Amino acid sequence: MEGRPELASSADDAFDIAAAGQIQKKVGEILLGLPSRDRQLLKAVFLDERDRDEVCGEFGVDRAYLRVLLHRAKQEFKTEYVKRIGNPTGFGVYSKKV
Amino acid sequence: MDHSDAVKQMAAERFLLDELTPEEREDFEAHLFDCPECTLDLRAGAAFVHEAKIQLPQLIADSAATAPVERKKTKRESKHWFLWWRPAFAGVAFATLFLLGYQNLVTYPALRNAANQPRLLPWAPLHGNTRGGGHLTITADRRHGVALPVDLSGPLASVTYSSYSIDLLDPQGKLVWTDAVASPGESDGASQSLSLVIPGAMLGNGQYTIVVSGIATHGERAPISRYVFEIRMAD
Repeated sequence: MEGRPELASSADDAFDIAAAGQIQKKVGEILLGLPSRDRQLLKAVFLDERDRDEVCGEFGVDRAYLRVLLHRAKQEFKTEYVKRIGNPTGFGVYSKKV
Repeated sequence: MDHSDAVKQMAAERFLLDELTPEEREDFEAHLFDCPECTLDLRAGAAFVHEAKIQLPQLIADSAATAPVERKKTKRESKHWFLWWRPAFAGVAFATLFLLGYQNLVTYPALRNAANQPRLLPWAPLHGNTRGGGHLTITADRRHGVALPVDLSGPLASVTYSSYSIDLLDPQGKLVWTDAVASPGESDGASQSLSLVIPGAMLGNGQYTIVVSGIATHGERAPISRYVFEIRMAD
């Protein structure tokens, strides 16, 4: 997918690039498996960055629904993510505040 | 905050949804230093959200483009489902159901009842070998029919017959019923008379004939008696 930002990886070798492609594919599968309404809900919250309460009211759901939706999608994604990224203590780890 | 607290509170999800209070956020961030599992959880969630934000606009646009076709398909499927309720088919289906219901609830119980219950029938004495006019007129109705005596010991009867046949002819002279009985024999004192019960449904106005024939052991048939009577239906 040319011109599209790729998920940051700890190295630029071919393996990591392929892993990033697999992750994109997995996220696509998860999103396609959701009802259309849930996709629109996620877009409104994360892409449009609209007020959470306003979005929940519009879609007729509560905040717990939103959390569970994200939790299930994350759990499904995590297996693929761990497989592709490898050592979980790689990049982006919070450094301990001193 | 420990790991079980973080899981119970869905801390990673609430962090990504920006729902944590400043104090909860600080606790969770402090917990992350000591919990690789929660760290992985948060990173996976963040990676998912990051990629979802890229793909969602296209996916939603694609869904919007295909939605009208899907609605049409559903309408077509609904139409298919409602095919069963089209007037012509529905009429046939209901007529069949009505017929089955009527048979099971009305006709069969009535027949069963009639077969299992004693009933009274008008008994009309007949005279065999009647010649010319002056036949016996019997009034019958469709519900009861008529019972007629048939005498096997007519003047032409013979003890050599092994069996007898009884034929019923309708007003057109057509054979509508026949049966055979074994010869009762004089020596054992068995009755030489039978009762022929004709159900009302078989009867109509007109002249009927009962023919009694003897059947010899070698199969030869010989008429013995002939009863002619007039039926007049009451209904």
